[in-house]
Order: sequence, then structure tokens, then C-alpha cells
Amino acid sequence: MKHGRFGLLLFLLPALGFAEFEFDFDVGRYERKPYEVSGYLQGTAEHFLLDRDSALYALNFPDGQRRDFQRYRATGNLSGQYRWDDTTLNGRLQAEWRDDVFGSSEDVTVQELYLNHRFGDRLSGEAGKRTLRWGTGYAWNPAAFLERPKDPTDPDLTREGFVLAQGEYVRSFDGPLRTLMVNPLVLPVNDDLNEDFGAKSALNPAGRVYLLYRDTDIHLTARASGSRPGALGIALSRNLAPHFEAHAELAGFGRREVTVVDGDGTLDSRDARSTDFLLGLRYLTQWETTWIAEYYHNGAGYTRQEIRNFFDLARESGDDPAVQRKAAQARASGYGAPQVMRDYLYLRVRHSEPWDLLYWAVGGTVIVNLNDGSASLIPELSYTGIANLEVRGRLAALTGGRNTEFGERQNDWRLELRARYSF
Amino acid sequence: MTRPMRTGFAAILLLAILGCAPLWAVDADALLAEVDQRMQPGALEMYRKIINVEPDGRSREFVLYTVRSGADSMAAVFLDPASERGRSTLRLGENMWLYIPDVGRPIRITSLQSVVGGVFSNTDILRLDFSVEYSATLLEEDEEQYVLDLQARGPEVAYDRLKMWVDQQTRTPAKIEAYAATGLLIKTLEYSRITDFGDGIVRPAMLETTSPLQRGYRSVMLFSGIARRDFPDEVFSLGYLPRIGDLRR
Repeated sequence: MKHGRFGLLLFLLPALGFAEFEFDFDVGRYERKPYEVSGYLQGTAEHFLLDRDSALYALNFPDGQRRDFQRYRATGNLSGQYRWDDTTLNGRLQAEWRDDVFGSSEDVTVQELYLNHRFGDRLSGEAGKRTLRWGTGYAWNPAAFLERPKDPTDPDLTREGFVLAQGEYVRSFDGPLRTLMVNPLVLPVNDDLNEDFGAKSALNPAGRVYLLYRDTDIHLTARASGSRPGALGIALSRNLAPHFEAHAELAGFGRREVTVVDGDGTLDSRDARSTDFLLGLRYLTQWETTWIAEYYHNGAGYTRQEIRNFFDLARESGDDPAVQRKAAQARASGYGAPQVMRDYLYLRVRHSEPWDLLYWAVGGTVIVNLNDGSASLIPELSYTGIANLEVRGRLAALTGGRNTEFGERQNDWRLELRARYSF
Repeated sequence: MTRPMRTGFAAILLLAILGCAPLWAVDADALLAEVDQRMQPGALEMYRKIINVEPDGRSREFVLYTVRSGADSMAAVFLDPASERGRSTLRLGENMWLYIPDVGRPIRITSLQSVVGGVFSNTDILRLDFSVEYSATLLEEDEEQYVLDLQARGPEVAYDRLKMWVDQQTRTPAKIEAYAATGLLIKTLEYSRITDFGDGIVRPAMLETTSPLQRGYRSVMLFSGIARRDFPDEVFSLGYLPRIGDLRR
């Protein structure tokens, strides 16, 4: 009898092991509903240690008294979708409250709100505010002509779109050309619509053709001259091996004016007709470490002398409000963009569960300005051990000498702690 | 060679041929194609729940809606958990992409990566027909099962070699061992819960995997709502990735 019970226990043990988990699967709750809502709530705390010798410190803190400051942000991002027949209404709303040494502010932005209608399996059209994402690069996308600038230190952040109307025709084939997709669109600019896309009112026709040809993604992009100069681009991506992807982008821009600060501190402009390109790769090691490396050439970027002139102006702004206004204007006209010089190297490494630490990930991002040797180094640590909650810590340290891009930023380093709850 | 020797050689050859006859009677590639037909019969839709059981006993669940067409086209969208909802993956042959709603742009991913963590790789989640990626040889056969040796047809296939135990009665896999080119055992997959999904689809409803490379981890995949359904080829394109969830009924 004793042996019988022992035998029964042995027989049941595997089942007992499973019993702690729910292995039933009711698909009823996953059937399609007419509407869907999702989003996240996010809290961010940042501590900035300021570089009191830097040019941008002089511009932002003319009294020269502050050594550090904190910034707190609360963000809510809500996405929704409502479907009826072949039409879908899509929207994404972002609300942010922010408090730091410069004051408190609230901001509610409709990042996307557009209607999509399908005219069949191959043809669809949409109109409204839409965020387009063209190109194949991770940190930069020179061939993406209709987007707001991406933050290379956090490329996955949601961004606000522009109001546009676009069509999509897609066709699949057997043979070396597997997919053909064509997206013609217009992005109208006038006093009331998309006024931050460009000052000149225009319809701004543009388009993209996508091909999956011989296992290579090929994107051909174009923007007609209008509110911004005309542009042509190509972006490629291909898996060279199961764990190795390579990508590239090339973009040529028509003539445009670039605001520059002259040697005597006056704002001027120069003509630029640039070619930008990007080369990149993504590599996964057998130990689950992902490497992303990219080289970016910004053809119309500032020279070392042009950026030095701006830093000189910014440095003088603490003594003279008129100079400060001029420096602030230069920053708003181009010098304040994320990467404004010509050649950059980007490297990102991410490793999940280091030293068998469950739910943890370590990684880091390095952005090097190859023209002046300055760099931004961002080690990070994240934890996802609580359902739908991600906690991330980052330290962004800037290195570089006088008159270098990262060396003249307002802070020496920035410590960031972010918690995001998805629903 | 003397006559008795020739006779003896012929007899040995005949015995060898007769002895091998049961193995020859099974066309391994045809058997593998039959396994594919029973596991993923043509164009279909299905729901899957992936449960990653971590070494500390905690578990994490993912629910995917998956559509498939032809021999090498497959797409899936995450329905749960909330942090992953709307993420979609597409596979066309050896090409794989991941679409993340916040990023808004499909990025190429590799077959050995895992979009869900745990032991299942992308190639397990978006698995093509075995016969598309492997050529088969029959290793053993007994009254209950066949044992097949599957060799990858090209270097782009995630696992270089598979050893597959096929149930004779249901013609579905009972167990698979996946090996790297070096001969290293990467993972073991075990199928169970033979279920009648209707419309002639009878196949395992549960797949469990473990890996000597990830000791303490266990991942389980549950299948439900498998149904035959035709989709236009255009569904399997990058432009359609954000809308895969709209295909649900």
C-alpha cells in the first residue's frame, strides 16, 4: 500500500509541476472588438550636474549661479482605434506635465489622428495627422523626408506626425520581387496647417516605393520642392546571416539655406546642396547581446569653425541680453538640433539577463562626433520583473574639450530614472 | 572470386537489402511533408499562448494571433500582455521583421533572436513548414514512431539539424531535438495534447521546450482556434503589419 501511494505520487509529480500554471487557453476574449484602447503612464526623474564652463550653460543660466537641477516629468500616452467595416479611426494622444528650474508646464499633443479606409486587398487610403517612419537606420534616417527629428539617444520614442493624405498600393508576386508597395502623398502647408514643416505654403507632394527584391528591403523616397527643398533617397536593409543585418541610406537634397553664425557673431546663411548617408549593422551574438553600429554623414552639417562661432556667441550671452537673444535665435534656427555637425558614429549594445539576473538588462549607447572627438556615453540598466512595468535607469555623460559639440553642452552628466506602466 | 564466395556475397547483399526494406518503404521527405500538412494545413489562422516559466518559478504569458499562407508566409500580432500589445512580426521565407507600434516602422530581426524571451526563438514562433527548410532521412522505425534526421537545406536556416520523433498513428511530431552545426544540442521541443480542431485538423495543442543553454527555463506554447482560412498575399507585406490584428473575426 505504501509503495502504491509512493508510485501514485511519482505518477502525479509531473502534473503537480504543471498545476501551478494556467495551461487553459480561452480565445474568446481575444476576438476582434470594434474598438481598442491601450497606452502607458510614465514618470521620469532627472538630475543634471551642470558644466559651468560650457557655452550652453552660459546661454541657459546667464546668472552663472546654479550647479545642478532636477527635472520631473509625468507622461500619459493613450492610443485608440475604432473600426467599422473597412474604415478605421486611429488616434494617439500624449499629455505631459513637466517641472524643472525653468518652471512648470503642461502640454497635450495629438500625435496622430487619422482615418484609414481599405478599398480592397491592395489599395487603401488615409487622411489626417500621421507619423510616417521611412528609412532603415536606427539612430538616424536621412531618407525620411517627412518626419520630425529623431532623438538618437532614445530613437524608439513616439513622435508627433504631420497632417497629410496618402494612398497605399501593395502587390505581392512570386519570384525575385516579392513585394511592391507605393505610397503617394501630399503634406499641405499653409498658415493654419503644418506651419512647423516649413514657412512657405505648398502642397508638398512626396512618395515612397518599397520593394522586397531578392531578400533585400529597398525603399525609394522622394519629396518635391515646396515648403522644404526637393529630395531623393534610397534605403536598403538585408540579413546577411541569420544573426547579422546590414542597412544603408543615401539621400540627396536640393538647395537650402542653412543659418550660420559668422566670425563676428552675426547671423548669416549659406547655401547647401547636400548628400547625406548612413551605413549600419545589427548583430546578435550567441550570448543574446545585440550590437547596433551606425556611421552617419550629415552633408550640410556645421563645420568646426561655424560651431565655434556659435559657442563664442553663446558664451558672451551672459553679459548682454541682446547677444543672448541672438544666440537663442541661432539655436532655434538649426544649432539646437540633436546632431548638427558632419560625421557621427553610433554604437548601442544591449544584453538581457546578465549574470543570470532575471528580468534585468544592461546596455549602453555611445554617440561620437568624429569631427571634434567629443562624445555622449549613456550606460543603462532596466528591469521588467513586474507585469507591464518597465523601470529604466540611465546615466548620460558628456565628454569633449572646449568648442566641441558635446563638451559645450550645459551639463556634465544627467542621471535619469524612468518607470513606465503599460495598459 | 570463387563460386561459393560469390554465392555467399549475393546472399549477404540480399539479406542486407531485405533487412533495410522497412526503412526504404518510408519516403522520409514524403513523411515530413505529411507531418507539415497535419501540423499547419495550408492557409490558416490560429491563436497561441506562450508561457515562459522562469527559473525562480514565476511565469510570463504572451498571446499571439497568427495567420499563414503558402509555404513561407506567416504573420503574428501580440494581443497580450499590454506592454507588447500591437507588436507584429512577419516572415517571408528567411526574411523576418518586427513592427513596434511606438517605433512605427518595421525593423528586420534575426531568426535566432526571441521577441518573447524564454526558450522560443523567432524561428519557433514563425515556423515555416519543416519540408521547406529541411531534407529528411529515416533513422529508425518501430511500431509506434519514426525517427527522422533533418538536415537544413541552406546556411540561413536557424537550426542546422533536427532529430524528429514522429507518431506513427497521428503523423505528427512527438519530440524534436534541435542541433547547431557544431553538433551542440540547442533545445528540445515536445508536443502533446493531440486535439481535434475541426475541419480535419487533428494535431498537438501543446508544445513545451527546454534548452541546455538556458537551464531552469521552460517555455510552453498552447494552440487554440486553429482554422483554415485563405488570405490575400498582400496581407503578408510590411504595409499590412500594423493591421494584422484587424484580420481577427
